[in-house]
Amino acid sequence: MKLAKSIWLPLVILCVLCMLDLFFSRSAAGLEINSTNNWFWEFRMPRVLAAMGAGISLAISGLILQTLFRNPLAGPFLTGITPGASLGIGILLMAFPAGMHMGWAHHLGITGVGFLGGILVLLIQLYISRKQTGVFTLLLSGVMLGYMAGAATEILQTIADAQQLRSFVMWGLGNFDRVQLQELYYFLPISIIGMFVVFALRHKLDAWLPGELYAQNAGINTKKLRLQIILITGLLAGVTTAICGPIGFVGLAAPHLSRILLQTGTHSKLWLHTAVWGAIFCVFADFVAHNLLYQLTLNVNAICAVFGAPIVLYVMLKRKTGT
Amino acid sequence: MRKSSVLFSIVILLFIGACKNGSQTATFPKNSRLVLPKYSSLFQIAVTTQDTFLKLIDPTDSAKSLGNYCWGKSDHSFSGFTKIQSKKRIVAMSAVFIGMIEALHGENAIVGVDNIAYISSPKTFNRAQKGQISSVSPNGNLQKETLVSTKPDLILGYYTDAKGQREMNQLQENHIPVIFLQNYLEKHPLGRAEWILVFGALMGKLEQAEGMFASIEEHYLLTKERAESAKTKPTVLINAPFSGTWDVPAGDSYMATLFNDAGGNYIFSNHKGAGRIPMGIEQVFAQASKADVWFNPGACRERACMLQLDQRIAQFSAFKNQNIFNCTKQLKANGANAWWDYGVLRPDMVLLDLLAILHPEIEFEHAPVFFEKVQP
Repeated sequence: MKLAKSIWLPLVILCVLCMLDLFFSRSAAGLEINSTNNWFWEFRMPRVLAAMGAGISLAISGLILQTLFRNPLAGPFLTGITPGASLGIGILLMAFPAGMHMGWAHHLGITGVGFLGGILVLLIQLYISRKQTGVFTLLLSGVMLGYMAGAATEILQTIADAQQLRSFVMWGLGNFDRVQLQELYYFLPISIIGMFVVFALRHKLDAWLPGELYAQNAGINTKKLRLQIILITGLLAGVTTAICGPIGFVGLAAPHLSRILLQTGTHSKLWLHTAVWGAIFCVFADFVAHNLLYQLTLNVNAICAVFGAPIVLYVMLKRKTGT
Repeated sequence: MRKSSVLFSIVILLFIGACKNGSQTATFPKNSRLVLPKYSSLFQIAVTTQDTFLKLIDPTDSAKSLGNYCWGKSDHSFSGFTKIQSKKRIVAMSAVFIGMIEALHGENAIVGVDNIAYISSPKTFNRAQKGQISSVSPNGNLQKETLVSTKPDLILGYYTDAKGQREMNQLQENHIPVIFLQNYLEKHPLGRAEWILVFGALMGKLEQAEGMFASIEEHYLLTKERAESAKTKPTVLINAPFSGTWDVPAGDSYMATLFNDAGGNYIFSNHKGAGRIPMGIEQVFAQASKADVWFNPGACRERACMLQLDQRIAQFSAFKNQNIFNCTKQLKANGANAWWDYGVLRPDMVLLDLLAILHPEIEFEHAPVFFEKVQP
């Protein structure tokens, strides 16, 4: 596997951002290098690694979802995976009044339910897509399923008591501070394995781009490929949502930014770029969320969109081409 | 000419807007006795032999009014004051209001509350169980039909955002008088308790309320004085992380005042403001990992529960030394807790609790009312 020259710049940007996020903190006087490190391994390192893992997972999910649905608007949010995962987790948190007081079994439960919720929504959407193949139908079905999952979550919140509601609302504010070292033991391998599975599937995904029939003619078992994509995206986006809370924008924006910058839709070139740009978005958002204001943590989701959207728009307009 | 007329129109519109927002133009009658609060800046009361007058000040802009009201025996109408005809059937939208009404033995007037589940007082809870009191906002959403069915003469409400204010104002437009009591925004614990005067005025028991508050104030100041004699100032941490976010009260909040008045050194005292500060767990750890005492770690009553919020909590000194206290001593199975109502009315008792925890070396007889030690 030979790395293309074009990957070095995003990799350098990612490294610089990771260094900034790892070693700098906002003090009353401005940005300062951290002088103490007794909390580094417990707090700072898991946070930055979680941001990278989430960025990679969501960006890769977005990339292959856009391929699967041949829809530029597809992403973990719009296809309903994230709302589906949120609904599953909402049911779990509401069903157990103790909230998060159930130990590791509960953490694994949240992860599993997030995964199942995401997969379930994706399966329904795929069923619909087999009945109605139009792009708009697919897009609409994703939006509708997302609305349904969102509405069901809202109903759950309405009937929840104060403690349950607090658990769920706090979980719903996506961030990376909550991630502990122990969670990274399975979260990071899932992200990295997911990324390499996509690398392994790159040629099949390329063949899928012109359409399912084209892929079949190229000798690809499309049913198997579809199932593989569902499992990977459900796992990557569902687990990320379970561990970090709902994080939007990255899954949609990172694949587009990579396509615009590389001027290609080939997965063999896009997969690594997309993953790295996803990680860049999340680490940058995490750094800004913690350091824009003194001792006040902002919402990572908001930072992703506020800073990320103009960058994508700028690159898109500068290149004078769509994706 | 055209420019000047546009400018003139803008000035007129701004003037009309200012009037609509309610500036404090109403003046108390000259022969009235003024009851000006010492700690609160959000209300003023005046009484004549026949009538009582209440001015509520907008917490976000002291030049603006949240409403001017009057009630009493006379048939006069007073310019700038909205007359409240009757207070026999009251809907109280906060547990704090219920606590204050009960303290003045006016609970029989309550016909509706926000949520019966959060009533800690046995008297009102029993009335609710008998169906004499309705929950009008059981899940945080105002049930207008239920509220109207209680046939209230008066709604004692509050709002935390513009949506809540709009919702309450709609009721007002439908001729159900709503008084906004924003006492939760008071910065000083005694300022919050001082609202007992407003309830006293509403229930025709102002003098009783004044006596009650004077006693609370005296007790609070005596306890504070006692705390000043302490030779050490233990550092204090509060709350717990939820999904990575740790909300702490800012340095001018009533909790910060309570800790400092009880002879503690509240870690986040240097943060300006009276609201909450959302911080990351790492930021809190960097500042408060060595804090001596930890208060109110969420709903947890055991250390094992705290570890499930975040395992990294185990690294805090207060956790290791088992110096954690929670205001759950009076927590009931239904979720009601006297901390939220009686605790607001009696900051002197809260301060005594805190003093006993922070300075056990100061000897005095006191069994904590609100706080209990988090179990190992």
